[in-house]
Amino acid sequence: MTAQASTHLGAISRPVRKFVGSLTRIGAQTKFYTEILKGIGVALAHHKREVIRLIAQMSLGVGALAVIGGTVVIVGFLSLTTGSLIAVQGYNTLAGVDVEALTGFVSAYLNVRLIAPVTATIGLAATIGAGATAQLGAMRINEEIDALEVMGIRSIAYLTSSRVVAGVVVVIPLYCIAILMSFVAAQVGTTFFYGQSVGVYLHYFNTFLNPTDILWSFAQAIVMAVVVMVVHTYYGFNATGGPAGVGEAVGRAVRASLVVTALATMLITLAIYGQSGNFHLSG
Amino acid sequence: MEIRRNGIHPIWWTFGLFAVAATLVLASLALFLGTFRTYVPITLESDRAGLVMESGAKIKLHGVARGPALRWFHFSSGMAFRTRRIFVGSLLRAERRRLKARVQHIAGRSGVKNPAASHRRQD
Amino acid sequence: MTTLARIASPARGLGEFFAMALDVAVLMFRPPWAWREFILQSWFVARVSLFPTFMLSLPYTVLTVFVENILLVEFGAADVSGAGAAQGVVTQIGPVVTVLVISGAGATAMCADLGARTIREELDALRVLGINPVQALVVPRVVAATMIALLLNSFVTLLGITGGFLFSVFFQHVTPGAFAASLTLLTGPRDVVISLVKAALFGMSAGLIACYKGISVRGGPQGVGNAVNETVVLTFVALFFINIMATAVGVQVTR
Repeated sequence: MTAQASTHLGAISRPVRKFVGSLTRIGAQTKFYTEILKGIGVALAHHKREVIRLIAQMSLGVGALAVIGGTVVIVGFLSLTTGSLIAVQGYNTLAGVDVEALTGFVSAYLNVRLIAPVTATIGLAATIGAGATAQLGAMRINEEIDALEVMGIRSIAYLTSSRVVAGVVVVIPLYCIAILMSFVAAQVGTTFFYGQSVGVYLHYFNTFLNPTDILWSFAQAIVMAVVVMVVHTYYGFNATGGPAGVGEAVGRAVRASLVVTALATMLITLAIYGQSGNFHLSG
Repeated sequence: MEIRRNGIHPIWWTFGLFAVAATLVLASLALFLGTFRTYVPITLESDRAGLVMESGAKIKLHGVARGPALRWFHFSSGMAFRTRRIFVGSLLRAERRRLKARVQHIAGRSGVKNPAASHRRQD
Repeated sequence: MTTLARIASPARGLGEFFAMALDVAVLMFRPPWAWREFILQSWFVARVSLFPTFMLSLPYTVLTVFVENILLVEFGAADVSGAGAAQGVVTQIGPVVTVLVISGAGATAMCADLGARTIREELDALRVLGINPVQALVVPRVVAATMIALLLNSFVTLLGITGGFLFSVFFQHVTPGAFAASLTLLTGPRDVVISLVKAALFGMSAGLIACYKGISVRGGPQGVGNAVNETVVLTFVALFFINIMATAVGVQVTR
């Protein structure tokens, strides 16, 4: 394809050809994404056992990750640390203007809208995303994927679409844990470490906790799971260049997925909450 | 790396991706700016010049559920003449009809002009 | 017996990690210094980090500023949105985006590179030649990661505040002058210094973890893939943990 393009462009200089080449690569990537999405039906129909195996593997991890407790523990821990930022930073900033009683409100507001979705996405990309890329990359350089093709199994559906489905299934309880941990961290930090009364904290927390917001952030998490798995499996599936190439693929996948999910999170949050923000402090 | 089985050159996929991305960004922007919301224009006259109402302030109307904000939108000042458009997009159709009826009732009572309350956004 | 060994192996891994870290700390001050490797690694980390940093700091800042401004507009305090933006960007978003980029981009590349060399037995060959691989390969990478993390943090802060300014002024109708004037309301030089210290700690930890995982690879090419995966996870976990600890310390210091 690139050769055909260059004969058409003739004597045009290399930068233009390189630019066209990178655009072509983006196009091939997009085509791969549609193949992945098309294969979801096949994966659900023919490869159910693989999907279930992947769900187990993704949630509880393999190897050293399993010893730490897998994706569940890692995402929970990340949410714990970012949720406690509300306690540490929020409480002290509010105490500077003597409204530290409102820390419960800050927790209900910021955790749901900003911190839990972002942290869960980052945790997803790091654990199941990077894991998928590493696994698929190792399979690719060992030529296992070519062997699958020879055996007549649709490799894209079997390997990548099943991981996308497993990722979406895994993200739902995972996101529950992420939100709960961030709430717990904020509460424990404020009430236990900074000594605020539990009743005060919970009063403001419960007053401003909006169930609709939580549902919207769930929807966000599911969209992010799809994006992360699709991007990571692409880079894993197309890894080249031996073991160093696998590592490079993981790096590129993590970068790409973080950028795409950051943009997507921003657009979705802006669209959901609109200019008024769907937020009422009083009245 | 891949064998071309069909005739679509990958570069068309690139344009497809850019088109989809642009659509998503524009849709998100439109949702953010509230382009898809419906409005009921209402005019209120008052004799006092001291009434001040800034754009974006939230109001309540009798008989209307508190819910998402009803918002003042457009502001053209005259001494005792204010034009308002109230955003009602998040109300149900029945509630919207009730609001229109109620506003016309109030307007009629206080001698206020009420231009045709349409559900189309007017600029 | 095997259960004990399985429980003990992460503990052993932790111990070896600290041993390597101690080695790095000592060998950093002993000649011969690997200048060339240091410059090459710095350039590499900077090269792979610039674009993701740019593309990550803007959305996260816009997100934070958007959420904060909704709140401030409710109070009628939209003019101090600059204070919220500066506080968020300098104390949290700067370090967090640095974490993400350094771990995601730099750490994985370092780990993959060292891992590939380990399974090719290149490190053993270096040891045979009398060169300490920690001194020749790990020390320059750790120092490069630290320095680039510091620089990236400043870059993110600048981009973040600019992005927050543009979003607030053009989309949420905040007065530009008020935004700029309120930037230093809550954030002072102490916060900036703490943020830089955090970034340096992140860079150092990410470099150490990545290099340790790289030189302790076992099991062929699959082992390298696993090592890179574990690097990403461990650096994220460690750096988020350091973030909360440093934030708690910093908040106490600036009280």
